[in-house]
Amino acid sequence: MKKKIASLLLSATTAAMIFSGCGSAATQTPAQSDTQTTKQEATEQSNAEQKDDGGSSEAASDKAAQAIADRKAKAEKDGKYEKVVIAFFDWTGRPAGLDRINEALSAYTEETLGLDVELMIIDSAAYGEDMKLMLSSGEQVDLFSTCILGYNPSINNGYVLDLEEDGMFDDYCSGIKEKIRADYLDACRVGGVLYGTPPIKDYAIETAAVCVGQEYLDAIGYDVTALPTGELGYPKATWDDINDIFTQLHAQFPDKYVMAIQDNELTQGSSVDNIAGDYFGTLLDPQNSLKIEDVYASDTFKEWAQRAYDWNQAGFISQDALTDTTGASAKVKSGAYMAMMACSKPGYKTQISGECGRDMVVFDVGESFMSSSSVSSFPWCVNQNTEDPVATIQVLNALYTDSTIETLMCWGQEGKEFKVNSDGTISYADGVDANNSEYYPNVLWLMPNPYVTYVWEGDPLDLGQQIADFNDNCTCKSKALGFTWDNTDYASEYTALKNAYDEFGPKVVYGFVDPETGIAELEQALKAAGLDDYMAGKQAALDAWAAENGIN
Amino acid sequence: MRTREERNFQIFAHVVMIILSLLAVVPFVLLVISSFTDNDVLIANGYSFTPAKWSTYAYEYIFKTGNSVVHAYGISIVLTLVGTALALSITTLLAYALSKPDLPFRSVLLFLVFFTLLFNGGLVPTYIVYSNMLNIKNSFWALLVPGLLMNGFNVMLMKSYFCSSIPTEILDAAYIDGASEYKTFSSVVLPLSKPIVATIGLFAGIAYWNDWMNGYIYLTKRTDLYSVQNLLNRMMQNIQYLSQNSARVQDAGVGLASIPSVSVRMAMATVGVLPILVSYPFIQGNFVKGITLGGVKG
Amino acid sequence: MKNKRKNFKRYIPLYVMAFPGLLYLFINNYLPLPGLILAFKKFNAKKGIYGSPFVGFKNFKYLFATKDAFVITRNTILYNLVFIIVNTIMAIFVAILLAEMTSRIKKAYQSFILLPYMISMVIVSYLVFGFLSTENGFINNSILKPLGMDPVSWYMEKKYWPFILVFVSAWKGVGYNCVIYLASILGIDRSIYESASIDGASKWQQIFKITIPLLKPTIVMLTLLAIGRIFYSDFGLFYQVPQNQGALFSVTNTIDTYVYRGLLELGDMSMSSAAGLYQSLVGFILVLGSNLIVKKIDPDYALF
Repeated sequence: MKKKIASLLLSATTAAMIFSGCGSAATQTPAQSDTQTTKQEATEQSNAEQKDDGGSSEAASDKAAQAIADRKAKAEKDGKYEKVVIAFFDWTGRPAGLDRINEALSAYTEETLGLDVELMIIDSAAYGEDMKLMLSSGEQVDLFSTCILGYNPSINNGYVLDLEEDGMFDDYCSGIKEKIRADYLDACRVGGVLYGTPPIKDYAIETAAVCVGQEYLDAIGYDVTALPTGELGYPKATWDDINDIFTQLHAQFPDKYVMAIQDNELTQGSSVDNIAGDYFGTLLDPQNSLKIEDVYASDTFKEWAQRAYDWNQAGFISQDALTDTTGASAKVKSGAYMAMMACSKPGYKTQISGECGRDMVVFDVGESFMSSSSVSSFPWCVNQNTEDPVATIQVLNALYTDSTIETLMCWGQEGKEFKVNSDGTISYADGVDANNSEYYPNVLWLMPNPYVTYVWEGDPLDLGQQIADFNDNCTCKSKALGFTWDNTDYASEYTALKNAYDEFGPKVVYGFVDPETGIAELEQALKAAGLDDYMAGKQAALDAWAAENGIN
Repeated sequence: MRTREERNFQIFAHVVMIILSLLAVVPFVLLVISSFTDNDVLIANGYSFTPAKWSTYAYEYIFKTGNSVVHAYGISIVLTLVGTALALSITTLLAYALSKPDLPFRSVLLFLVFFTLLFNGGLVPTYIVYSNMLNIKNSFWALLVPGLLMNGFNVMLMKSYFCSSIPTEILDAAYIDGASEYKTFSSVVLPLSKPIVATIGLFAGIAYWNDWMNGYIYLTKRTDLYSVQNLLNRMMQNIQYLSQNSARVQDAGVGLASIPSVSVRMAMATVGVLPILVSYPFIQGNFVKGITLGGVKG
Repeated sequence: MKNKRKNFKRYIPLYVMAFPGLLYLFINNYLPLPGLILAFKKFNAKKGIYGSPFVGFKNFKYLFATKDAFVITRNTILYNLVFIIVNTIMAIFVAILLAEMTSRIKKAYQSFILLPYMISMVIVSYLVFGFLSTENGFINNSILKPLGMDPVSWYMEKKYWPFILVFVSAWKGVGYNCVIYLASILGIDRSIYESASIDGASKWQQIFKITIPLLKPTIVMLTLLAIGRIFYSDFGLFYQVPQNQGALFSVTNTIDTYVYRGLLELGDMSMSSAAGLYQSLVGFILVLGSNLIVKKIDPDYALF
C-alpha cells in the first residue's frame, strides 16, 4: 500500500513535469526567444537540481553557456549557423513533412543552442547499409542511433567518439546525468570508455508471457480469475497450467494449431544472460555468478527442448513450424493459431491484442529480468568525424532534456500532426491518421527520452514513471550489466558456431527431435566449432572487466 | 519427306516450349492469385489456386502507403529508357573496337575488361568514388551510373558476336571503299548485329528495371526519385523489420495488424513484373526495328 | 615508317569509340579497386581505409578455420559445375528450338520463359514453399495424397535438395541464358543451312553439324567466364530457397551462406572484403589456367 502511494505521488510529479514541459512547447511564443532568459533559466534549473556538487556543475553550465554564445557570435559573423545532423530510422522512410519539422527545430535551436539541427530519417530497410557507408566515407552525420547498425560493430569499426574526451561529458551533458542513472550510463561503457548514451526505455523484460486468445479460453470455459495476479497485473501461471490449457484447447479445436512457436525460448522465455550479445557461453545465474557456461548443456535448455518436443508430439505445433517464417502474432491473427509466447512489460496486453487482432490473455509464467546487454543494445552515439564535438554533444544533451525538441522529434508539430487532448495526452490532429500524417516516425522506443514530451492517447500519463519503476523493481538483474566484448579475435569460432547452431539448434527448439539426441548432436557440433575456446575468451574478458569494475 | 520431318520438328518444339512456358507461368499465376488472397487465409491455409477468400487489400495498401507508385513507375520507365540507350551505345562502341583483331594493345584492354568481372573494390570504396569524388548522391545520376551503365560481361558477349558473326570480307570491302570507321560501324556492322544488340538491350533494360540497390544506397533524401523496385523493396523490408520488432512499436495494433504482410509481398512482385511482361513483346519488335532504321540512316 | 603512321592513324577512331567505355570502367571499377587492401587491414573509420592498420592474413582465417571449409567449398564448386553444364545445355536446346520455330507464337514463349528471371529469389522461395510445405504444399496435398503416398517433409530430407536447387536454377535462368545463344544462332549465315539442306542434310544433322559447332566460341567464352565465378554462389538460391534449414546444410551450405551467417552480426567490413577477395582470386587463377589451355588448343577461342 505504501509503495502504491509513493508511486502515485511520483507519477503526479512526473505528470506535472510533463505538463510544464509541454506547456513551454505548446506556447512557443516570441517572448521565449529572448535567449538570455532561457539560458539563465537553464542554468538555474541545473543548479537547483544538482545541489550536491554545485560548484563543478556551475562551472559546467558556464562552459555550456559560453559555447552557445560563441556559436551565436560566429553565426552572426558568418551569416549562417553551423548544423548538427541527427540520423535515425523509421518504418516508412523520410517523412513528407520532415523539411518543415527541421525548420521548426532549427528555429528553436538557433535560439537555445546557437545552431541548426537537421533530422535525417532513413527507413529501417536501408538504415544499416546507408549509415555504414556514410560513417565510413566521412559524410556529415553528427549524432546517430546505433540500432540496426549495432553498438559493438560501431565501436569496432571506429565510427564513434569517446563522449568523455577532454571532460566534454561533464561539461556539457549535466542534463543527461540527471535523466539517466549512473549505473545505466556505465552499462554503455566499453573498455571503460563511454561511447554512447542509452535511450530511456524499458530495459527489463518480464520473461515468458504466454498469450492466448480470449475467445479460445472462453470456449474451453477456462477461469482466468482463479489464478493469482502478477506484478504487471496479468494472471500468474505455471507451465503445468499452460500445458493444461493447451491440452484443452487442442481437444476443443483439433483443426487449429495451439502454439505459434518461435526460436525465442532463451531470449524471451528465460533469465539466461546472453552475455556479450550471443548464446555461445552465457551466465546461467546472472544475478549471482559470473561464470560463463554452455547454455545448451544446461537444464534450462533441456527443459525447453522437452517442452517443445512434448508440444510437438501432442500436435500443438505446425509441421511447417521450422520453415514458416511468418511472425507469431500474424499467425495468431490469421485464426489458425491460438497461442504464442513473448515477453511482456507495462501496457503489453493492449499491444499484443492489437497485433493479434483479438483480445488476448497474457499469462505471466516467467520473472522480470534485466540482461547485461539490455541497456547498451542501441545507445545514441556521436560520429568521431563530427566537426564540432561540443556542439554535437550539447545537442545530445538537449535531446534528453528539452521537451520542445523531443516533441518535434517524436510527434511533429502541434496542430499539424497532433493535437493536445483535455486530459493532457495527445492524438492525431483533426483529419490526420497514421497513413496521411506528414510526420509520424513511430519509433518512440528509439528516441533518447520520449518521456520528456507528451504521452499518446490511451497510454497512462505516468508511463515514464511506470517504465522507470519496472526497471528499478526488476528482481533479476545481471551482475554483468554493462559488460561488452569485442569478439573479432574469435570471428572464426563465432562464424562456425553460428553455422553449427543454425544447422542443429532450431529443430531442437521447435521440438522436431527427441531432446536427448538433438541436444547431443548440437553439443557435438558446437564443440567441434570451437565453443570451448570461444567461452574461454569470453570468460577471460569478463574476469578482466569484473576486476576493473570491482565486481566479484 | 522433308516437310514431314520439318512438321514433326515443329510439333516437338511446340510441345517442349508449351511445357516450359507452363512451368514458368503456373507459378506466376499462383503468385498473382496469392496477391489477391486474403492475408489471414494465406497464413492459415497456405498458397492456393482457389483461395477461400479473395481480397484486393494488398493492392490498396501498396497504392495508398508512402510514395506514389505511379510516380515511381514514371521514374522506372525514364531510367530504363535512358539507361538502356546509354548502356547500349557505350557497350557497342567498346565491343566493336575490341573486336578488331589487329587493334594495338587489344589483349591488354580485353584483360582490363575481363578483370572487372572478377574483382571489385567493394561497396565502401565505390561509394566514396560516387558520393565524395563525383558527388552524385541524391540525384538521378545515382540511379543511372553506378554499376549499371556498362558491364564487362556484356562487352565480352558483344565482342564475341562481332568476331564470329560479321564476316571480315565485308569489313575489308568497306575499308577499301574508303568508308570511315564510324561509317562502317553504323551502316555495315550495326545492321548485321541486330540480334546481339537486342539481347544486350534486353539485359541492360532488365538490369535497370530490376535495380533497387543504387536507390537504396545513394538516395537518402530524394525520395521522389524512388523507382518502382526501390519503393517496393523498401516497403517489403520495412514490413519484415517491423514484424520482427513489433514488440517495440508504439501502436503496432494500428500499424502492423493492418499490413497484409504475406499477400503484399506477392502483390509487390506482381506490380514490379507485370508492366515488363505486358510490354516485352511489343518493345522487342519495335526495338529491333528502331536499331535497323537507325543503322540504315546512319 | 609511313605505313606504320598510317596504320596508327587508322586506329584513332577505334580508340575514340572505346573511350567512353574505358573511362566508365576506370571510374566504376578501377578507382575503387585499391579498396581491396581492406582485406588485409582492421578497418577503423577514424583512420580511413588506407590508414587502418595491417593485420596480414588474419581476416581470411575464419574461412578455413574449421572442417566446414571443406563442405562449403565442395558444395560451391560442385553446384557451379552442375549449373554450368545443365544451364548451358538447356539454354542451347531452347535457343535452337526457338530459332528453328516458324510460328509467331515463339515470341510469346520467349516472354513466358523469361518470367522466372524477373522474380526475385525471395519471392521464388515463397513459391517453392507453396509447393513443398509439409502441411499445405501442393506436392504433398495435390499430388502425393491423391496417389495414396505418404507426405514428405521436404525441408528435412536433404537427398532431394541437389535436384531441387539445380531445377530452380535452370528454371530461373533458362529464359535469360537462351537469349545469348539465340542471338548467336540468328547471327549465323542462313546460306550455310540452305546449301546443307540441298545436300540432303536432315534437320537434326544441320543442328549438330552446323549450329552447335558454330556456337562453340560463345559456349567456350561463357564457360570460361562462369569458371571465374566458380567460388561464388547465388546467395538467394542457397539461403532463401531452402529457408535456411539446418537439416539441409550439408547440401546447401556454400561459401556465401556460411560467411553471411557469421558476418550478419559481426558486421566486419574487412572480413567480408577478405571473403570476396578469396573467391575472386581462386576464380581468377582458374580462368587464367583454363584460358591458357584453350589458347593452346585454339587461340581464337581464348578470352584474351
